[in-house]
Amino acid sequence: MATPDDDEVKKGVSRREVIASTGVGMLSASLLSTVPAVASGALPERSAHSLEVPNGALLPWKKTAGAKVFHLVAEEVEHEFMPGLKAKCWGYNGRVHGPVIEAVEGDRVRIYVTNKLPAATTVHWHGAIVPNGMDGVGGLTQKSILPGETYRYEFELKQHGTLMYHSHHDEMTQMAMGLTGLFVIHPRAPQSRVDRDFALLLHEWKVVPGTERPDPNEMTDFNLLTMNGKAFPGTAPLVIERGQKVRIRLGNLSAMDHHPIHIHGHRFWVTQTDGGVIPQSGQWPESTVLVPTGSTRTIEFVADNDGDWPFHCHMTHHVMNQMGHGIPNMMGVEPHGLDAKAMPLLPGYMTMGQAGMGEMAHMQNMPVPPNSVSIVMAKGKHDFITMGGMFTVIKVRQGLKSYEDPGWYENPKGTLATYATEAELQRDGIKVG
Amino acid sequence: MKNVLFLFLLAAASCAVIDKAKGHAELAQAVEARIQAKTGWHEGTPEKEQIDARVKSLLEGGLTFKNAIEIALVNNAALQATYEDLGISQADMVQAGLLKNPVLGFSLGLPLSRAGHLEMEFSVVQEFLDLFMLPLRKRVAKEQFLLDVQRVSHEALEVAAECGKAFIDVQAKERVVEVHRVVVQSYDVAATLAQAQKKAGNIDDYTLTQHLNALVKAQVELSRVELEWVEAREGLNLLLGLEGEQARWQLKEPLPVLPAEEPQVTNVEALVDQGRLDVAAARKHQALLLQGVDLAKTWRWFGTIELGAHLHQDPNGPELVGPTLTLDLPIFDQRQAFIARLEAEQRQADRRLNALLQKARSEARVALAKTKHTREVAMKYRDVVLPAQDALNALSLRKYNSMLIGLYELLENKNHQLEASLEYVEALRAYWVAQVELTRALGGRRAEAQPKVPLLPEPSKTKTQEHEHHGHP
Repeated sequence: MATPDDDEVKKGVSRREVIASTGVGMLSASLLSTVPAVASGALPERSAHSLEVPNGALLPWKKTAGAKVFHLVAEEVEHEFMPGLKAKCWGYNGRVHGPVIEAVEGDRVRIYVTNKLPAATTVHWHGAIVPNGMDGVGGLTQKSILPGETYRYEFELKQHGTLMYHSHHDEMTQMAMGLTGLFVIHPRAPQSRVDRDFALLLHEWKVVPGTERPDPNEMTDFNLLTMNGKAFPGTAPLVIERGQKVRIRLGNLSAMDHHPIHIHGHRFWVTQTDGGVIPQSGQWPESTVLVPTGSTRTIEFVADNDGDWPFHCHMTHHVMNQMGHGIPNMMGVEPHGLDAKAMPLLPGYMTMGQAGMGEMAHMQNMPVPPNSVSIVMAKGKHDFITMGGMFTVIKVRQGLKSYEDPGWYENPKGTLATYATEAELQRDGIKVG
Repeated sequence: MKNVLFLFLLAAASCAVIDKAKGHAELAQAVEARIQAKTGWHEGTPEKEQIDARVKSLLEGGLTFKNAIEIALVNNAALQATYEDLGISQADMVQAGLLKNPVLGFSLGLPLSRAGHLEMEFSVVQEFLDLFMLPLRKRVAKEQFLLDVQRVSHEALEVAAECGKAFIDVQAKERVVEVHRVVVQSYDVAATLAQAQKKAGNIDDYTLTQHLNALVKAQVELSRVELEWVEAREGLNLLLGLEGEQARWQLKEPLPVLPAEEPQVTNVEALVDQGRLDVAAARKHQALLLQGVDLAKTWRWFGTIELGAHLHQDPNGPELVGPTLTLDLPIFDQRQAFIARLEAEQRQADRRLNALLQKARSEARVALAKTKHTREVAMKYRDVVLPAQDALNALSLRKYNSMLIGLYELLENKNHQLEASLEYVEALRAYWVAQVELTRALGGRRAEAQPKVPLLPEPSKTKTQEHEHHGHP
């Protein structure tokens, strides 16, 4: 490993200039640490390469003769999915998912991979066009990296786009434990420039409530759906100044699910896949993009509608947290006679769910299993937000001072759904039974 | 001379007064020292009214373990019959102290010729040998009487042990019924949920029927254990000799939990040798036979000693044979065969005593092992299984609160908890029965060597609260 050169450390916001100048600067060799990539402070200037990773980080690198050098350390990580739920996962460089590798088309990258896991591993550069021996498939294209060993991957980036990386050794276990990350390669000659460039990796997990480790054996019943490793309300909002051109890169490394990601209050264009840019003639506008597992989709839009807008997977069970799915159907069940009999037998029992899950938000003071977030719901401006999981909020505002969370949207008069008055109903001839 | 004889006869008769209390006081003392319970018979056969009054007072305020045993000791029909053996034995003993009634002789001489005259002669014949043997016979009869006191006391302890076990069985069965009532409640809740779901259109007839059937099965099971409970009560009633209104007692105390400390019982084999009355009786019998052999040998030229009399059947012990003693002149029969028979009987008594001792020591060792084993099992349930079931119940409620499971699963957990409670009841029953068996096997225990029944906790207002606080329903 090279000697650290602290004088030339470049971090955070300043690093976009580093990348813009194709890596002239040197980054700290304290490569194990990562760089918070959520923009903060004063509004930064526009840049083609200001990649932002909500709740995530960028992987530091340094320039050496002939290559950008990165260092990934695969290791066990205690990861917080949201306040109230932590688990021992596997990640890279102390994070789940691994920090985003950011580079530029034409770069030669040298990526060291140290295995601090109790099992052998490899890293596959998902979507990258690499020499066969650099593809990272355990057994097929290389020897697996044994615990304690460090391997070197080195190849030239012959493409640009949103790619991913993940373990390709005992994938079922290792990806279920979190060994995944995004790999963003900027074009050397960008065709389309944006003001904001977000990267989100979608994933799904099985963490049994009350346990502290994902269950990698699960095949179908996942109970935790995440964006950059966080489940709502743990997801950081995407704060955008009105009029900014926004790019969101979506990767999906879920074990078994595809995710139709839907935006509110806007429509977008799907501009790229993990295969590269979609020719303009092939793009079409929509509000939901299906991101199949093992794929990336990049969408672009102009944030021209102020407000707090959900951005979420449209599979309804993917916007719940650790709820159980084998519970009896209680819809419409008359609870009174039942409660009278059950309460003496089961102190603390009360019939729930006879009108759905929405009421659960109001029951958050009841004792629940430790380390579980099954019924945790965020309080919104108007009421509880009855959603969790693969859900975040895009906050579009005018006159932002920073990209810190600006709080709830103040609805201009006359633009908020409210209780219909008697006069209004009469005026419009609406009869309510 | 006639006056002397008259006085002698008078003295013999005056010694032979029947004492009603004799034997019963000794029995009462032996029983109380061994199981700390009063027989109510220490003054001999009580009047029926006395017995009724005592039973009534012992039933006052509900039946307890100790009172049940005292009722059995005074009111058990078979035992009452056995107590009368003491009267019979005492009568035998008194009889043994009485001389044979003198034989009145009268002879008349008729003259063969006119010259002769009528002659008459009276005589009172008292067998000289009878007078000679009287002290010996009395001594043997007294020993026999003491043997009978031991034997009857042993019978009383046996009945007390049976009664103790039957009482514990009733306590356990009552608890089992209570738990099964909660089981029915649990299945009733599930059936109620199923009906509400069916009404809401959420389940089909198939699923509804399954839940309704499960409820019926639980009700049938309750009815079965209720019958077992009634049978257990009737079994106890029979031992207590209770009928009619008196048979409708309530238990004053539920099945006790484990005592804080286990009484130290060491050297059980010595305790058996010293404590068991059937062993003592067999020993006395053996000694009597040995004495009999000696007597027969000593007196073979003067007369014959006959040993062997009433025969008592003890279901768990040896046959006890009591001797009587008579002596006659060995003119034709010098009793060599009879002495051989006596010697064989004496050896047989020896062997039987040995067999009884082996069996009694074995019973005591097994009973002691059972108290230790059952205590460990009951402790496991008390300290591990039941708290775990309570924790599972609480955790399942947490899961329910998180909508991870539904009411059916909560009830399943509740049912597991109830099953564990039933297993705990069985463990406690086995423990207390083992303690009674140990007491029986040792021939009783001093009060300080008996397990201390723990005081009851304050009764809770509802059963459900009790589950929460005491860890088992």
